[in-house]
Amino acid sequence: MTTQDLIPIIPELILVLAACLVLVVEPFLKVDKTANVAIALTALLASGVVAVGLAGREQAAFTNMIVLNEYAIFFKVLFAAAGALTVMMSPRYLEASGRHMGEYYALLLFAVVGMDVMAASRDLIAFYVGLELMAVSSYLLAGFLRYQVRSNEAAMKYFLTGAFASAITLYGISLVYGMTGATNYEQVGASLLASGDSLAVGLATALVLVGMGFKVSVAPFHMWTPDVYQGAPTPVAAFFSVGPKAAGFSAMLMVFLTVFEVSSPTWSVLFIVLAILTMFVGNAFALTQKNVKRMLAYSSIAHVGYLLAGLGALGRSGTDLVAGESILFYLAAYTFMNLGAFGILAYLKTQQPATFKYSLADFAGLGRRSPWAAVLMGLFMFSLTGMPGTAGFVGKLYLFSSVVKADLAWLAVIAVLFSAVSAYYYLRVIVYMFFREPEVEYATKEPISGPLAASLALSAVGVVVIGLLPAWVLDAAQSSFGNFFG
Amino acid sequence: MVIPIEWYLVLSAFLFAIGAAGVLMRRNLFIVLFSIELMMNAVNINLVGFSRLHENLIGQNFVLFTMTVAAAEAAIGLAIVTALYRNRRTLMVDMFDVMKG
Amino acid sequence: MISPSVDLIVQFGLMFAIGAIVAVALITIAHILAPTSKNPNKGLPYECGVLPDGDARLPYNVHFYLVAVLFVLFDLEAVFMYPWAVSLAKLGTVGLIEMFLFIFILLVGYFYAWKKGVLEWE
Repeated sequence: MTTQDLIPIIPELILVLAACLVLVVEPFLKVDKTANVAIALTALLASGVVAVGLAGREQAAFTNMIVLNEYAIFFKVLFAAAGALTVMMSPRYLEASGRHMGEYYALLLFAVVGMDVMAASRDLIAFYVGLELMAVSSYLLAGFLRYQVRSNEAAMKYFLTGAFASAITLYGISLVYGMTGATNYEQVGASLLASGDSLAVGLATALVLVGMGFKVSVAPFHMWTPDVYQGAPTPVAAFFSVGPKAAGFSAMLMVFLTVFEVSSPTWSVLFIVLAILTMFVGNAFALTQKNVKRMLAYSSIAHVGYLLAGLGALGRSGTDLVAGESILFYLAAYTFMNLGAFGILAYLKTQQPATFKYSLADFAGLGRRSPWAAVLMGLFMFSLTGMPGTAGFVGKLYLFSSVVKADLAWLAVIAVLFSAVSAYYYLRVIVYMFFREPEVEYATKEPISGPLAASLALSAVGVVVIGLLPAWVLDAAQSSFGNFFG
Repeated sequence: MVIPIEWYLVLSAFLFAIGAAGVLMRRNLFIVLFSIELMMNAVNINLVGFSRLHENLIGQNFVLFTMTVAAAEAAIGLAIVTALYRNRRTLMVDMFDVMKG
Repeated sequence: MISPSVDLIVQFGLMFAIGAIVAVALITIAHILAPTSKNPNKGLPYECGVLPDGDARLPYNVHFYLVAVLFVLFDLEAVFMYPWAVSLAKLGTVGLIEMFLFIFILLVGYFYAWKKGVLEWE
């Protein structure tokens, strides 16, 4: 290691130092945790700003384990944004749940570091360590409300499936190492290309795919998702639905493009099959949900299905990486709209901690009770459906057209049909908010907390800006793959 | 006599299969935890065996990382199990069905 | 790759088969030959004397688990110091600083556990 090696990981160093600081400060704070919230928020903003400042640099560090390039920077900024929005919506929610502790922010920071490492890694060891850092922090976050049975169960389910999945991934990685004697992406990829496709390569591909499939909740491995989202604290569920998913896709893109280049016909077909299954399961189950939090969980599975269609297209299009770019764009759009939707849920929960059960009936008459929340929720629902003018529309447009470009027009048609189905359950929320009268009148509301309002506003701004001026994010996504084959 | 690599592979495949079967079939949370550890150890055998085969140290390095990660996972698993047991007084996996649908 | 000779596989198979047969045979023979008693007293820990009271498995203080878990974690971190110590001559000063950074992060965790009162024993 040289001091030069430290430059690519400055954003992560900031986050790690801040997390350590949070842990050191925490025992000295009594009830007021503002200091820790401030530390975490500052660190996330600083890491995002530094990452933007590093743009344009190309550097490999730690004997090619970690790289700094546009791709890594794109995800560093995205994860910092997701983390910051989550931090802002957390304090009031945790206070309302009676468990506001500083460790929460330290765990969140560590999870973001793990995600950053996943996106920036070019070595299977670094990838695995990043994955586990993210996963281990998330298990604890899921169970953060220690005295609630639901939160315990969410943590347990997440832990068991997560640990099982990472063991499967790890077994696949060990086979890859066995076939090539290396763990560096480029070396492994080149060595596998030289030896050609074989049953063993297919097995390793399948194992890594299944393990990562658990993490990003691909259809046959999705069973944990609704339970974990429902049981985990709402801001944490918001974070889960965007952070680890985006990180999983960032790593999958790299691993399958470089390491498993030789087996791309295999995994491309696998991804297409799983995409159809995932879209079906996500949308079909979301239709039947009366609980909005569970509905959003199933809808997040459906969105993973759309992204998988992009991955399937990527495996077929050779050196044309437009599908990869549109996946990055979609992840950015999805981050803002989903964080916003969950943020509204967190807000409503802090309003009526005892009576609000996330059910559709609780949304009746919201348009009259708190018009702002209802309008924002409507915006996020429109965006998740993919209505024009919102981020969701542009994301789906790019994603599905890249699928068409890969000669998979039929798959794009299926995806569009499923999006049309999804309109039913998203718009149902809007119908309840504006056109249904509540069965019971709720008590008067308390004012919304400042950070939570800011978080909701920023998410809404993100959705609208990406929807109307997609060029910014699209440029960033395109330059991420700029010199991928150069 | 040099033990051929296949033997390590067969051993690790068996261990991994036993672990996976344990995760999927056993009902007691602790046994499930142990089964996951078994799967990770199967991977460790693989890595060390391959490290010997390729005569480089990457595999052995990797094992150090998986071992620490496994310890961290075990610690967190135990913490979650303790919290769960305090609230539910049972460790049977199929009793955890507060959320459904 | 070296493939195992047929000889070895036969030897291993034979050993495995003999072991399995002996184990199964012993259990079956014992099951058939042994005298059995249907008396319910058979199931008690003592057939005569005072009946045991309460559960043999006493709940331990949760503190034991906490300390044990902490021990496992810090103990395993030492694993990274062995390869580091072996190659320190090559790594030079930078390697030394790196290890101190590593230990510093561990110290933060230790400090946190200490301040949270994990190490206090009544």
